Amino acid sequence: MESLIILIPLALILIAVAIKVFFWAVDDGQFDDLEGPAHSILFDEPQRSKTSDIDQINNPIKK
Amino acid sequence: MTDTRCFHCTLPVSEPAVFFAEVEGTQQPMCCPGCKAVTEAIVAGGLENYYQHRTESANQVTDLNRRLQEELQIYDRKEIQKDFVRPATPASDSQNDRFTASLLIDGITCAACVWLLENHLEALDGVEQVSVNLSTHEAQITWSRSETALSTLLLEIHRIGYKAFPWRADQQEALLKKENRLFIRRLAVAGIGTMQVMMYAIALYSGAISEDMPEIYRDLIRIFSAIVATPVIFYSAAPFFKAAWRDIKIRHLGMDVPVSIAIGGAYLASLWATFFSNGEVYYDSVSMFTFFLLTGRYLELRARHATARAARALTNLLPPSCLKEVNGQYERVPVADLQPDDKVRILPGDAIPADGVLLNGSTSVNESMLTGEYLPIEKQQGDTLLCSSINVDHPVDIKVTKVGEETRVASIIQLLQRAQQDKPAIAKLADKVAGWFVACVLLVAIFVYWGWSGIAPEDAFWITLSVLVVTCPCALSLATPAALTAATGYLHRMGLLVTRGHVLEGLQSIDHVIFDKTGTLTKGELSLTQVIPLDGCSHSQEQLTHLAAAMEAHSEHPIARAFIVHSDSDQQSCQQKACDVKNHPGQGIEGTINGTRYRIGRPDFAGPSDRLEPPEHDGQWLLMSSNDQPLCWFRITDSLRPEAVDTVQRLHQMGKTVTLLSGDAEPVVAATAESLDIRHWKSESSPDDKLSFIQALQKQGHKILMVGDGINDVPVLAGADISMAMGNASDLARTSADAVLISGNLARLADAFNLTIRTRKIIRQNLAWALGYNLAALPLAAAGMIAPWMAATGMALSSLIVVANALRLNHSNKLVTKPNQSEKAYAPFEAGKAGATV
Repeated sequence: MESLIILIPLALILIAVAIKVFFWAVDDGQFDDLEGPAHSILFDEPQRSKTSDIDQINNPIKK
Repeated sequence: MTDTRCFHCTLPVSEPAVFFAEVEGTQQPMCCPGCKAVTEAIVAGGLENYYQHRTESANQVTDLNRRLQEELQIYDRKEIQKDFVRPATPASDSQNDRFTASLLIDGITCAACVWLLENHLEALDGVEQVSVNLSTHEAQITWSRSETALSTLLLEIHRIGYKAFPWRADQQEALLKKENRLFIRRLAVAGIGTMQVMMYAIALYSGAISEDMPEIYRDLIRIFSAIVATPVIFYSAAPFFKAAWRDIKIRHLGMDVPVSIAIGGAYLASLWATFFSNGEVYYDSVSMFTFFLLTGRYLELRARHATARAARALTNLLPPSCLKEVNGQYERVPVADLQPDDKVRILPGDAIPADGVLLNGSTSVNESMLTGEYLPIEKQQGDTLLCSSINVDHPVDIKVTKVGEETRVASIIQLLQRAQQDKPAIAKLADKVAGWFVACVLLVAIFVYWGWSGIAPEDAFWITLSVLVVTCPCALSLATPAALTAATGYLHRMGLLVTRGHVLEGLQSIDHVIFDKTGTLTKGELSLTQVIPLDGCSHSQEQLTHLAAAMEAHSEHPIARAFIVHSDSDQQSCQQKACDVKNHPGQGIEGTINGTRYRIGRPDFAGPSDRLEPPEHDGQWLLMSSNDQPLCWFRITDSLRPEAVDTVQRLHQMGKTVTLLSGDAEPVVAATAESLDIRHWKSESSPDDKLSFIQALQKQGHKILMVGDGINDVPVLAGADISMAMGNASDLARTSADAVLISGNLARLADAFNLTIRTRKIIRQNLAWALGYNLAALPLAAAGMIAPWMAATGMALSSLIVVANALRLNHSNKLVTKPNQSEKAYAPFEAGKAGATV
């Protein structure tokens, strides 16, 4: 039972961290759209780039 | 006829399909060139995936043209961009030209749209990042201004079938966002806190049951529970305390007062118990109660924000522009830049941007938005043209006489403000119940305390507290908002957007429904209703219509549209081609079909030698002749909406009085009233007349619902107890109404009445359940028989039941007439407008 004296405050610190992380997520705008992101994982991202393949080979630094 | 549907927007296509587009190797049918162009643009961009992933059909697309391009170019002006475009990197960096634009996208129906928009735009030159928010339909586009003009991006959005408007993130919007984030933070603190406190509570309960927990540990756990519960009370529950304090200050017992007493009381008592090591602690109940209530309020808040956004989206249209003469050249400028004495060119179909005098020629204008008169009015050189009326016939020049606040429209707005001040308020059921409830609970608590102090003074405080916790109006305070939120969401999906809170609760007390005529009960556009062949005419009515349609296909006049729409259902008419067609402005049209010369128009134009009189005075009659031989009469009128008769009948059955209140001329109004079986009607009413008419009814104690669309209806919409605007109504009417019939289907109005009755029933059930539960628990608590855990479980259960009951409103299919196909995709309200301006 003595371990409670350490474990409970430890749990409190964890809660504080969890809330801090949550607040950060809210400020980051992660809760602004609650519908869209749920679907976005279903879409395949086509491999498209604004430069052609040849340009990419010649100029590999450019994305 | 097989059921062919457009591959893009899924509206029915008349057989045989005329337009096709190739998607993944298959020719898919298309309903119109607009959808075809969009589908081709999507496929060309390699984005066919959209069609696989979408869960809702797209909206039908109106054709793009040069005109739109020109209008969008106004957005390239820096002074207009400053409202919604900001630098993407700090402004100090002088050579950077990366900017972020906030846009509101119209036409987003599901997650696939978001994907399509993001991928299509990101493939364009100069575009760096695009993010589209599915809930708010807001898009953030970061791009390089020197590489690509903003109008190009906007045009690309239009090209794949959406509409984009500048999203001016004003103060109100910023407030909504802040409120939303603050609420989520509060929810998080309450949720995480509740979970933690409940874990401690399990330890406390098991200790209490087995009775072998040393007091030191019990007190330790209590202290930590208090530490976790404190932020829940002071941070998460703060809005309840604030609202309760506000209620007390204005001497009004709302729902927040008992909520605050219960939360505050239980928390203080638990603190007391913790520090003096006796009694019970209620940290878990208090936290959970806060969490539940916040969840309910959050759902309410989200529904409110969604409608606020939708309502604001209605006003976020293209800034009106017009063609102004500058040094002998016409330039497209924003209407706001106009000054008196400017010369403005107005093309047919355009709205007139300011009051002005006609400089040359003649034309006819449609003033139905201002007066309710549905037939175009002839204007000669020197006549005054009013702002917001629509030019019908030819391009004309006007000299601006009045702009902005001096125009006729602005004077109607002043009337609107006056009407809003006199608007009667509607009392809310829940608030009335809450007042009584609070008074009763407080009385009972005092009584219980007084009673127990006589019997067992040391228990009196704890028993009184358990009475307060048990009667905690959690379910009671959720009862109404849960039902209203569900009903509002349901109506929105059916095409009726409720923009003010009192509509659902107020509808049930309405006993008088007043309709405007033009554009509300009628479609507001001319259509062909009757063909009367003259003696000696060898053609059938159908043939006559086809002949007329073939000629009118060459005209842009609204009357021509009446014929063309009529012949669309029938492909045969396309086989006839008129050649040599000539428009005679203000007179009619003439052309040659298969070698015969036909004329359609005014009697003195089509058959000048015969001097025929129209068969009736009502409506507009056109004469058709072949080689100067009169053939038949066409009657052109503004036809009724197909569901109007049925809707009026249903309203009568519900016992409502229906009145027709129009600015149009008496014979037309009388005929409309008769065909709809409306007994009360009033014609030739000015906006002022309409307002005083309903105010007189209100003085007699009637509750009035007004349905209208025009600018002339605006004051009366603002003055009615509840008002509804049609989806294609003027901006002003839509923003001043309490609800907008987005789908334009009047049947929804009768459905809304049905739904209100049901909503009220559900609210009553909820209130009855919540009160019943509290009343049943009250004597037990007063007798000192309820343990904290029982109070907590009972409370949670009763709240869940109330919410589940409210959600039944989402499935009330049988109440509502089936939506028809065109409505399902409800071609957005802008479609009608776009048709007029694009």
